[in-house]
Amino acid sequence: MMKCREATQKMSEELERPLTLGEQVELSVHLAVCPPCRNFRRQAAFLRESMRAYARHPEADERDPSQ
Amino acid sequence: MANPDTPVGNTSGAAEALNDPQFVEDMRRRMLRFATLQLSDPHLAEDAVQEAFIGALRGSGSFAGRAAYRSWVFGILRHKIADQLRARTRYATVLVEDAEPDPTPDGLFEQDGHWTDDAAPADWGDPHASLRDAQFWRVFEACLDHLPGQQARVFMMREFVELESPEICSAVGISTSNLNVSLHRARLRLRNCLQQHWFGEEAAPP
Repeated sequence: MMKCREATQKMSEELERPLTLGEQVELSVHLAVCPPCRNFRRQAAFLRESMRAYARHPEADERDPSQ
Repeated sequence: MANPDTPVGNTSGAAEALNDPQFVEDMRRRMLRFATLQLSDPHLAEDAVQEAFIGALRGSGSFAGRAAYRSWVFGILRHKIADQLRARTRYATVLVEDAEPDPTPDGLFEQDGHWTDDAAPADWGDPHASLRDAQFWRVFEACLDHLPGQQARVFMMREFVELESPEICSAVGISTSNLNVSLHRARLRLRNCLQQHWFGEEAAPP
């Protein structure tokens, strides 16, 4: 059975390539019983979103002490 | 060069910003640090930063303040770096010896592969509200700064410069599995850092 360490590795790779059917099944089975890994999956997606926001939006880079 | 970051606003932040040597120097320093990390060549980095400033001067725009201006110039730099790295992939045919990826931080997992109590990802609720919080971005940036060199480099290439995985592998000269290991570890570190310093119940600034 897949452990958290390996599950996070698959969830990271999921952002790089489509997982195989076998990997998807194994991951789903793990996620069904592991709330922290379910949080990890949402947060990994959020990291990608925030990096893109960081790259694009001026308000993401507002550091002027006068404001 | 395509410039997707159309300036908005109605005050001329550019002229005002460029008249402040300290602001310009601070911006230049940060751009140079980023370009040097990405290109691994101080001279090419210097050139790229120079060109980004020149490109910014050519584009006449008005900016709603300094941050908008800085973000726009940084966007130009980002595109120059993407072009440079992509150009490298054309003649990078020999795969250099894979370096050992920077390590996973200690204390995230037990021996048996389960999360440790301290490191288990907590529920962050809806984290998107933080994207509008200036303090969040200070923490975010500090966490990025704490990534080890190679992890920071490939993670920024992937998520900030937005190159595809195969482009990064040939620009850096590493295998796909090496890249995936580095990205995985970078995500573990960054997530853990944000939980410790922002989203966690006992979060404290880094």
